[in-house]
Amino acid sequence: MKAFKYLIIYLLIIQLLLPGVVPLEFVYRYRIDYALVKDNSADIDVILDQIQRQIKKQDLQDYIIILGDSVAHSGPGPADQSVGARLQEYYRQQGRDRPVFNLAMPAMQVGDIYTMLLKLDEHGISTDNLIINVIYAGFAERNPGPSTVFWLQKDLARLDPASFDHIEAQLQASGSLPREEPAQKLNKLITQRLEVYRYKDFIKADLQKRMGTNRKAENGLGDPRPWYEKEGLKKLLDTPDYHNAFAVKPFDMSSRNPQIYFLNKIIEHQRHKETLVFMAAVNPELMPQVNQPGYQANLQAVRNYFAAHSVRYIDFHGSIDQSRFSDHVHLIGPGYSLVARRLGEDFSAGEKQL
Amino acid sequence: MMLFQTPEFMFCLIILLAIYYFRPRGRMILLAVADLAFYALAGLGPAALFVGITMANYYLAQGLTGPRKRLLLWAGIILNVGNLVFFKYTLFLVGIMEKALQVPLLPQLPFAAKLILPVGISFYTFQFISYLVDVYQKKIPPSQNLMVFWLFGSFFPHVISGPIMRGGELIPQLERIEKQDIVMHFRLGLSYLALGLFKKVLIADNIAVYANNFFAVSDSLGTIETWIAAYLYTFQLYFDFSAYSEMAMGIAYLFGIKLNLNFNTPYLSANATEFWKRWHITLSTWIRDYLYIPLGGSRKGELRKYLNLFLAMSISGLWHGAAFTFIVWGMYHGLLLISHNIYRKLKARLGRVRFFETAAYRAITIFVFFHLTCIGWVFFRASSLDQALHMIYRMLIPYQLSFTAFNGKFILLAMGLYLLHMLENWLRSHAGPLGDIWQRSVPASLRALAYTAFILALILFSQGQTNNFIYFKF
Repeated sequence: MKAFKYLIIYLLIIQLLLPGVVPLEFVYRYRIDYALVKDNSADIDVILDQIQRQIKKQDLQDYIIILGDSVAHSGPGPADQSVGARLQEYYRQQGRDRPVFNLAMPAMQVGDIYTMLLKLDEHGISTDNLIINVIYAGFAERNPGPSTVFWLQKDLARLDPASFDHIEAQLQASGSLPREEPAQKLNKLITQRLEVYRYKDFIKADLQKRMGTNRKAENGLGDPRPWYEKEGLKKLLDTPDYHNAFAVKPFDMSSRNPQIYFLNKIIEHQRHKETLVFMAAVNPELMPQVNQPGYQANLQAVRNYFAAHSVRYIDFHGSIDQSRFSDHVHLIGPGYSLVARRLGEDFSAGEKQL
Repeated sequence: MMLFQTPEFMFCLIILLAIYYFRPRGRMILLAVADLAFYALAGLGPAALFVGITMANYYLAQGLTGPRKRLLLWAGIILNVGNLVFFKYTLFLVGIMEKALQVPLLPQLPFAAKLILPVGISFYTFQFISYLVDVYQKKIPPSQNLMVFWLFGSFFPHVISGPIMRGGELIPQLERIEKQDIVMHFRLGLSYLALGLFKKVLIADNIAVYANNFFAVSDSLGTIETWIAAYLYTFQLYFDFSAYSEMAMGIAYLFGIKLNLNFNTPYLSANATEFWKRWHITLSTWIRDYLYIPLGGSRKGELRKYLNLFLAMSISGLWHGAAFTFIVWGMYHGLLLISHNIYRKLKARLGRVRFFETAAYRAITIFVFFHLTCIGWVFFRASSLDQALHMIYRMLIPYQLSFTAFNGKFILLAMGLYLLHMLENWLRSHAGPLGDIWQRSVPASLRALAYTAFILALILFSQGQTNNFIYFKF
């Protein structure tokens, strides 16, 4: 019985002290560790907790948040060559210590980005300086997929039930709302409250790294070589999904399009804040439809949309040399450096205008 | 389905135990509701079926003391076996008939493809049959309390995968449930639970990753790699199933109920007869008592005895799964039992008793029989007979024999697992004194530290919710 009392005390100590003794680098280094988070999206909350602690501890006022998909995440290359890391480096070269927290994640849709904004509010992390990436495919007609919210459906339902109700039919149709069994619900209820469970994935990954047995290397997101060295890429992209995603059919720029619905929400959320949206470039060698008038008209429609809402916007189409692509839309390290530099310049320019 | 090793199960268990402990008068109804809820988590349809089958068995047993008892016994056996055959073997039988008749039957019987195997059906079928037979043979009286009988069938620690309990063992305990001293067995219960969690979370689930990888590429493996695949699965299966059984025992002890031991370090067996006294003990004794002996056992001559052994083990194989791989696995063990019986007779004729009693001889026989067991598990794990036969051919006929560092790592792992098995055997035989030393010599604060480290290891190295127990599919 005495041992049992000690056991309870030890477990309580762990519960209370664990989040405070974990350094930020343990859960976040330049970007979200996709290899970990993809299997447990609750890990995002742990990362946000730690970022919030860092901000508080260092009394950070001037930092940038990046949200977006695999392009802002900067796959398939390593974390230290990602847009966030390069942008932070750009500011350092400018003599400015400005942390950049890159919370973009592959497959994040515009609904996830909006939900992330709400989650950042919840964690008390400022979105005063925000960079968002969008891609052409995000505006294309969904048929019925991809889902408008890929990772954070439950969070959206909790944080903005009205928006969730608005897009629930689309989520159902795209099959991204799996039914949760009672046992799974109870599991989440418990594991999201016990710190050992919350930090489990990160502790395990760290131990495996130290023991050299990490089966899920952080950089293991794909082949980081340039696209022209990869065989069969053209064939891989010649599928109905990709054709649909890069179709030249005119975009529906009304709020009936879930992309616009959530972009409107994001713009509303970011009113009076520094926000820069960038459109990822597309490799014309792999996606020749880029040069078609319909595609260009769609890009112009997106440009007009952001201009109408007075949102600063960069379209990278045509401004990245094709040798810097890793595939049809992702870049290799130097490509992401170029994007980061341009984002840094434009973001600073925007601030000077104010 | 709520698995024992998950935090949600532990949470529910703690709540349930607290109520059970503080409200002894309501224990029976509490457990009855908990059992129903536990089973219903696997599906409302299977739960309704289970309730129906339980009720039917209860009322059938009431008539087993009357004049039409033989008829009612057969009605009960047909009901239970029919239920099992319908849900477990319909698709398998349709497939066989399709092949035999060269006629596509499945399009005409679309329900067969949609049948979902209710969890625990194989286990509760055997448990109810043994109950009916025992009542018929007047070994036990029929239960007069429906609630007690419901608990007998549905007691949640063992309802999914055993141990298969007899009415005479479990029903009297359940009848006294409100007076059971649960504190007395609490430490023992926690020890079994911890042992099971250790085996499942830290060993079986982690070996499973490698075993699955090897079996997935079995076509391209050489002799050594195929043996490694067999070794890994041999240990995965043992640590997985014995873990479930020990957790079931441990949880039952926490409620003051004793369930039977299912495993006793079986890979230290020197022959098939000993193996079946140490592996899935409650199933093998069930097969012996309700199949082998009624078939005639050893009472009708040597040849008939061998035939009975072969039949009983083949049926045991089929009980495990609706596939030829399981039937062949059962037949293989039937042959091993027959061979051991013949060998035992030869040994008696040779008369070199002293040699056969040496430690060296026992070590050799254990080594040989362990490898024969590994060969058998290939049938058990393979997805088809072709795959199993191909792998066994590779194991027996040397092919691409190359000793690499990669192979060496896994052979060392297999040897380590075997040493762990031996350690388990030693710990079991010294559990009492070791427990006393642990309690008396180690300060409570240090013991608690060890328990904390154990809990942390379980949480950190668990593979998540998806790792079912292998025997759940049977």
